[in-house]
Amino acid sequence: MIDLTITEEFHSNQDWRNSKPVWDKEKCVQCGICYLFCPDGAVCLDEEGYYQAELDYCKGCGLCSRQCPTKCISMEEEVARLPWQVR
Amino acid sequence: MISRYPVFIPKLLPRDEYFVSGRRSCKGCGKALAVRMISKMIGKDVSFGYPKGSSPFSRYAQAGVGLTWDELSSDDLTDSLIDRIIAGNERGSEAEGFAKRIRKAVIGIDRRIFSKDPLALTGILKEKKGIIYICYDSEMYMDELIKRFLPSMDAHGENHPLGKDEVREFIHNKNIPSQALESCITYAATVCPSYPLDLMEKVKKGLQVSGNAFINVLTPCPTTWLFNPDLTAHMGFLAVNTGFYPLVELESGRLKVTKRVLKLQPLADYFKVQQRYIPFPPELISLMQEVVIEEYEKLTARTEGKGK
Repeated sequence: MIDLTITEEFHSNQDWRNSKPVWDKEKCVQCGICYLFCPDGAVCLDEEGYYQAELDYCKGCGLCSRQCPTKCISMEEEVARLPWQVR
Repeated sequence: MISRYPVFIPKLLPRDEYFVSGRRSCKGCGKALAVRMISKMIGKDVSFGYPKGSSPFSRYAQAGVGLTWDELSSDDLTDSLIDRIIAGNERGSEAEGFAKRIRKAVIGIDRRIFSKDPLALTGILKEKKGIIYICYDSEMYMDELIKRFLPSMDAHGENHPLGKDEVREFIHNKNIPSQALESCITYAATVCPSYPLDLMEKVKKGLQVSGNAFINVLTPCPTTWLFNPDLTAHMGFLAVNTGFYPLVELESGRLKVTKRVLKLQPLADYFKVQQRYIPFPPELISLMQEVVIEEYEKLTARTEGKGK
């Protein structure tokens, strides 16, 4: 990532989301298709070389879990938060 | 770049993100997906132009892209663009390290822009400034067709039943526009974000070609097409495999089908998933199916050099 300007108002996209993607590291073959298909650029590499989602950017669309060839990404439902409970 | 390697590894693609995450596009936006892939391939040497007030990503359009950004009005798209390209090239040639010319990527709104302002495309193509014109196709012209079948307060039989040639008009919209074909364009292509490497290589080819280039992108839109946001890439697969949106490439006067479908899927598969097609009567769908197959056969015959 290069240093870029982000909107001043932006805090996080957490209140967009109903469910979050969770990677099963046993099934993952590190192909990177989830990284390619993420419309928000929220998927990034961790230290071990596996992929994970930056939860500030993830909107929970589920494109990554649909496109995964080994079906290692599952969408976990998050507890619904009321507007005044978000940060 | 990727075609040099025998394996399909998305990790080998450039890491830099020029289209910043943290914007306000919808869940599973096809446009955002396409722009992210395109900007990855274009790199840093290009400045973006976008019609004013039509940015789907954020109100603060400048913050959505890490590249330089011009806001244009759609009325005088051509004039303002050409002035800016000249200015940008001068600025680029003054700076050190910019031996080559700066190329300009333009992102048009919908295919609607051609019906609204038909001179927008011809004006750009006439000026030999080396523009890559990337055009969104989120199928907004299909709304005209859908509106006919919505229940309304008007009397019955206001619209006559559609004939074959009238249906063909809508399906023709999905190809490379005739203005671009007639103006001896050096490169033109249709792409879809469900085939990412195909998209990236076509954009790269358009950059390397010396001359104008036109690229038409099918961008599935979950909010207006009314489907589940995780099916965005699946919609693109269906559109290509039904023959509704063939992936074509025009290079040095030769038309080529890059993704050849041997056995077309029924068109009803594509319509079933989108809830906006619910008011369509089944007779129309069967009529469209005939037209799609005819057009696809015509296209393949043309690429093989049998007919024109």
